[in-house]
Amino acid sequence: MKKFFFSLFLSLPIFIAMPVFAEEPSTPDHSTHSPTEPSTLTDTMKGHIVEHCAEIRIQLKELQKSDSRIRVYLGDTYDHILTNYITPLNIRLVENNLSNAPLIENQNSLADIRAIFTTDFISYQQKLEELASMNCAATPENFYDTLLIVRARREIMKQDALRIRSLISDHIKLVNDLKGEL
Amino acid sequence: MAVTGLIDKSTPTDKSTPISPNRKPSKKLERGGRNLVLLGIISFVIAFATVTVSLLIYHNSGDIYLDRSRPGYLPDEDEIDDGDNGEEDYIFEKSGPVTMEVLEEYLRHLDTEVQSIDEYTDPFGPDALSNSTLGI
Repeated sequence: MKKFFFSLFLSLPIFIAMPVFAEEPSTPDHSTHSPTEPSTLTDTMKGHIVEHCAEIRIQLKELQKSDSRIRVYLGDTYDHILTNYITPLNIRLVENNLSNAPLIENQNSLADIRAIFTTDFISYQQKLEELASMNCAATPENFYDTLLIVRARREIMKQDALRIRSLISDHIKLVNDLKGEL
Repeated sequence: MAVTGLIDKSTPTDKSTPISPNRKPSKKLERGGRNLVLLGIISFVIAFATVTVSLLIYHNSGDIYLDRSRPGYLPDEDEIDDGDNGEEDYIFEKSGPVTMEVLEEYLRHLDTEVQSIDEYTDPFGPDALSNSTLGI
């Protein structure tokens, strides 16, 4: 009896501690492909995957690292712009009774997209890691299906980066307009 | 007169000598040793279980992909420091007047930051995962 309760006590943390999964991407996840990339796997492509599986996995691992570096660099820059430029500017404008609603809306949008950028990156990297860990020689079909999903998520990352860049450009335009009014 | 019941303290007593020849004092020691081993095993199992759960959560939650301490997953020094990059120290003051000159200076510094973003011409572009790049 003692042993039963003891083993039950030991196994409790495993069942209680539920893993928290990252949120799904902000935009619907569907396997999209560029017009130049075929969505179906041909026999030739299958042969190439099986033949170059090891090299492909190495490339994917390197891509993981380079994407992580890009994410850190861009993320830091976005945070720097938001924290040291946009937010203090809006605060200063409020202090000087020059509060500008479009600028504040721009700041809020930028903060939201910045958070989405991180969430989407986690989702993308999870799938990329799954892809890099797959045995493409054994299951080239599954590998290619997963590759299509990773491409879609990478495209989402690209769109996030473009949206952030666009919001920063909008901010600059608004500040230029404000400068003209002074 | 014979004195009974008194212990001759001048004679050192042998403490290892059992009081009762039929009792085994090492039984206590045996039980204590076994409990100690059991405690060690239990501690190891609990530690192993909690570390496993922690690593699972770390991986599944995605924090591992945001972890900046992973070797090789951080920008290189030349990617961060582009020569004289003093913009990292610039912070626009939250209080003060808002004049044309102030905004011009603000835009000048902001433009430098934006240029560093634009150096990545196609971040997360499709080429890295194209069939031709991967050799498919």
